[in-house]
Amino acid sequence: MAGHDYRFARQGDAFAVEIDGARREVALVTGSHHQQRYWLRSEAGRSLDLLPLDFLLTDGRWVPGPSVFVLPPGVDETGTGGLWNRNCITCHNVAGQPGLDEAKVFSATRVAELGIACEACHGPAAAHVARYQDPVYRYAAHVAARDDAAQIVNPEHLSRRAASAVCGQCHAVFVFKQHERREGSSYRAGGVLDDDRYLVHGGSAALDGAGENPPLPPGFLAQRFWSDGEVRVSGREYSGLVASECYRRGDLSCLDCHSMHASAPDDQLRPDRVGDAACVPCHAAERYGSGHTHHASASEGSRCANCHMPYTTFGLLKSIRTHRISSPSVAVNMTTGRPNACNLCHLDRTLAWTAEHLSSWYGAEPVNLSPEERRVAAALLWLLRGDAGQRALAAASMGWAPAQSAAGTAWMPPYLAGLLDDPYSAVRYNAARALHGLAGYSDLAYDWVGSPAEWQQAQREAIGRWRRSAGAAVSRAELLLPAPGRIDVDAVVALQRERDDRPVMLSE
Amino acid sequence: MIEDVTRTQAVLVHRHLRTGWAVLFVSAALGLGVETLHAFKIAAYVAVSNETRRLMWTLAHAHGVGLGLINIAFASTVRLQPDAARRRAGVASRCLLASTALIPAGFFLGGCYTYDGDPGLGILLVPVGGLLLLTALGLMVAPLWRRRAAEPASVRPEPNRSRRR
Repeated sequence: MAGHDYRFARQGDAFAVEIDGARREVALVTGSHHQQRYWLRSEAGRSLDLLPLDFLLTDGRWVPGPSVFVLPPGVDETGTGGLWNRNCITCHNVAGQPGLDEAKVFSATRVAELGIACEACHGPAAAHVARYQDPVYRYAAHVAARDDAAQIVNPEHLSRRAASAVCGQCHAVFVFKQHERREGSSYRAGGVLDDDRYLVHGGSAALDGAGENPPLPPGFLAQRFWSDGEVRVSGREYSGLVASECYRRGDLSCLDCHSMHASAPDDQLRPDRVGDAACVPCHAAERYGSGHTHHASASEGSRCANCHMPYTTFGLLKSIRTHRISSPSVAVNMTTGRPNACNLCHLDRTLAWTAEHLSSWYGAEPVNLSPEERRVAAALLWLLRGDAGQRALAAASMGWAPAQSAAGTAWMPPYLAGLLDDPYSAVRYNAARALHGLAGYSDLAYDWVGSPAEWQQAQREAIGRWRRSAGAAVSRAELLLPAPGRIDVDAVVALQRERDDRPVMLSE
Repeated sequence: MIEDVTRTQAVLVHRHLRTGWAVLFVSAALGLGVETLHAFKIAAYVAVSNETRRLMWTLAHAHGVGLGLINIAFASTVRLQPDAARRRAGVASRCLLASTALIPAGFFLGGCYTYDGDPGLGILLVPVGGLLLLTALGLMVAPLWRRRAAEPASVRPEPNRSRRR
C-alpha cells in the first residue's frame, strides 16, 4: 500500500510489522471501535512512531493513515516521531508524562497505565486498592452501601460541573500552560481543570468561566471551530457543552446523558436517556409536543436532538452530533457555513423554505438570501460550493435514514457521484457510503482510496445507472433537475466554480 | 453394644453413600446448567460484568462433585476400616454432611447476587463449611494414620466376634 510492503506478524503476545522487510515492534494500539492506529517502538528514546496505515474496524480494511482525516490533499503525517509522547499520551493513557529532556528527546516518557483505564476518570487509586484488600472492610462497605469518596473519586458524587470536567480533561479544545510538556497534565479527576490548561473557546465572546485565549498557532481555531465559535470536530464535546445554554443557564452535565459503565460502547448513552429521554427531565414532554415541533410527534422531526443537536461536527470519518445545544437558524448557517438542522434532514429544500418556516413557526428574523440560496436546495449548495467540511457533512447526511426519508433519494445519485473524485478522502468516503446505501448502487465498484482514474470510472458508471433508473424521472428546479433525466449542468458547474477550495484541516 | 456399633456403621455407610451420589447428581445437573448458559451465551452468566457469578457457580459445581466423592470415600472407609473409623466417625460424619451442604450452597448463593467483583453474602457459608470439612478429614486421618500398616483392620481378629464365642 502507498508504494510500500507491509506484513503483520504475531509472536505470542507480541505484534510486529515488517515495512519493506524491516521489522518494527508494535508498542500499542489506540482506538477500539471505529479505527485503530498502531504505534511502533523507535530508536529515539522512548518515542513512538505512527504506522502510516489505519485499520478501519467498520470496513474491516487497512487504509493510508492520512485518509481517515479531513486533511488537504498531499498533507500527510510524515515526521510523526514524538507525536504520541507529546500529544496523544495525555488522553490515550493514564497520567502520561511526556518526559522531554534537555536534548529535546523523549527519554523519560512514563504512564501510569497504557490506554484509558480506571484512574483516568477515578483519579489515583492506590489508597483505595490497599484499603479494599481487606475483605471485612469490603463487605462492610457492600452491606452498608458505603462509598468512600475520600479514597477515590466517583464522578457521580462530584458537583455536576466537576463531573463534566472529568470528561472535559480530554473531550475539549485546550492548550497546556506548560509548553515544554515534561511533567504532563497535573489535572486529576475531581480537580480544577483550568489549573494546568487553557480551555480554548472559538468565539469572540469569552464563555462563562473562560478567560481570553492564550496565543495560539496560526489556523488553530479554524481547524477546530466554526466561525461563531461552535466546535466542528469530534471528540471535543465538552467545548460544545460549556457553550450551551443548558450548561450555562442550566445545570446539564455529561453524566445526565452518558454512562461509562452501563451503556453500549458507541455513544455510551445512559439506557434511560436515549432519544428524547435525555431532554424531558428538564423540558416537559407535554410542552414540547407536535405543537412545538410542527412535525408528527412520532416522526424524526419531533426528536429533540435532530433539531437541537444536529450532525455538524465531523470526525472518525463520519458526522457526529454537535454538543452545543442550540436551535436551528438560517442566519447562523449563512454567517458560519454550518449546515442548519432543518436542511440536514430536508436536504431537498432551499434555505428560503427553511427561513420561511422558522419565521412562521418560531418568529425567526427574516434573512437576506442570495438568488442561489432562494433557488437551490441547501444541500446542493453545501455539496457543490461548500468547503471540504461542509461537503463531508452533506454527503454524510445523504446517507442518514431520516434525511433520506424526508428528502427522498431518487435525486441523490448524480450528486453523490460528483463527490466520488473529491480531493478530500473523507468526502469521497461519505459520498461512497451514501451511494452504496441506495438501491441499485450497492455493487458499484469504487475504492475511495484508489486512483483518480478509478474514481472517474465509478462516477460515469453511477451516473449511467441513474439515467437508466426510475430515479431519473425526478424533475425539481431546486434540485437542478429541470426535466426528467436532465441535470442543469450549467448551474452545477457555476456553483462548482464557486467552491470553497481553501485548505481545510479538521484536528479531531 | 456390638450390634449398636455395627448398626451405627451401617447407618453411616448408607447415609454417606446416599448423600454422595445425590450430591454428585445435583452437581452434574448444575454443571449441565452452566454449560447450557455458556452454550446460549446468556448475558447474566457470560457477560464480562458477571465474571464473579461464573467463578462462583463453577466452584459450586466443582466442590459439589468433590464433596460427593468424599462422601462416597467416607462410606467406603467406614465399611473397609470400621475399627479405625469407629471412634469419632459420628462426629466426622456430621461435620462432613454439614460441609457438603454449606460449601456448594455458599458458592452457589454467592454467585446469585454479587457486589461487583465480590460474591454475595452467601459466600460466608463457605469458610464455615471449609472448617467443618477440615475437621471431618482430620477426624478420619488421625485414627488411620495411627494404625500400623502391616496390621490392617480387615485381618485383625475382631474382639467382638471372639467374645461372642
